[in-house]
Amino acid sequence: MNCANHPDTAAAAYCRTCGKPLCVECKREAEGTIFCAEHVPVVAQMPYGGSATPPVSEPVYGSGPTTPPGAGSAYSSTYASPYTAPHQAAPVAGASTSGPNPGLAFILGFIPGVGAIYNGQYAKGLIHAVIFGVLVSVIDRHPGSMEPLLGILIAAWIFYMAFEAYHTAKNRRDGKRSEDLSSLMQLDRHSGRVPVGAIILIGIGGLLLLDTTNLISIDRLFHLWPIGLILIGAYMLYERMGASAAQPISTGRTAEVRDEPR
Amino acid sequence: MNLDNPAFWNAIQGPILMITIGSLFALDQNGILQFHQSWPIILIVVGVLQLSRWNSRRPQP
Repeated sequence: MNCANHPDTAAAAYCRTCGKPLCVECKREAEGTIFCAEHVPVVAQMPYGGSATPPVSEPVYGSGPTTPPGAGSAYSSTYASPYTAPHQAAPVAGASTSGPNPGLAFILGFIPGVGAIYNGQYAKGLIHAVIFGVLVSVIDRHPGSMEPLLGILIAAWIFYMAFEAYHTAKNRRDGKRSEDLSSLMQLDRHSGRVPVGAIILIGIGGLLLLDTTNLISIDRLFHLWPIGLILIGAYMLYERMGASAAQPISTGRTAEVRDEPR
Repeated sequence: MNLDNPAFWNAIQGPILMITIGSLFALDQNGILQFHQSWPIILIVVGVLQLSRWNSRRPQP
């Protein structure tokens, strides 16, 4: 994906507020994350002293692999001594120390949704809490055959939330890009792939709807679990076929390489 | 209103969800469909919205 303002430049980051793709030139660093020029908070544009510095001159910080190596080393040399650092570097340095605390995020992450809320990701916090609630509701409704599976799922989900909050807090503290829902369903990356998360959501929703309206009980549907294996196999086949259509010589191995995030 | 624009799908997500939840509670209040029976509809709506957004992004490289 390319920059929204410069269509011929590759995007290096995405705005935290509107999700617009931004190149190195267009992105604005503030509060430990990245914004576009419209959504950057006013405080970040007016550093201490109130003199409005142009945001373009802000040092590129934590922009990942797209930063030219020279820029990073030049910045770290000025960053090394905060007292002699240039005027513009002050807000970024402040943001890197005042970001969320990963340890606290980890502990709060054990409470459903609270870890994400602590990181400022309210939508994700809601989703975490809702998924936890759905799991508990289903185990409450069907205390029979699926109790072990659902119990383990709930335990895994609790730990997922904690570690997810920890990693998000760490990324935000280091000024790296953190997306709201990237860990749940990867929508921005892999824009060419079928969104598995959405399809699974529709499938689970349909099953639960059949169950709650007493049309087909989940207990009875659970006996159909081998169909899940068939569907997974069909999806893998579809993936490989798609990869070989794009590159005639490629095999499954190249498809796996392509699927790796970043 | 451009159905191929991901921003359009981002923008309507919240309102659509609000309307869905409101409708479900209205059905619950009128005794037509209990909310504890109808809540998975919310999951389906979220999934369909995500799918539409993905579909609107796909033509782009």
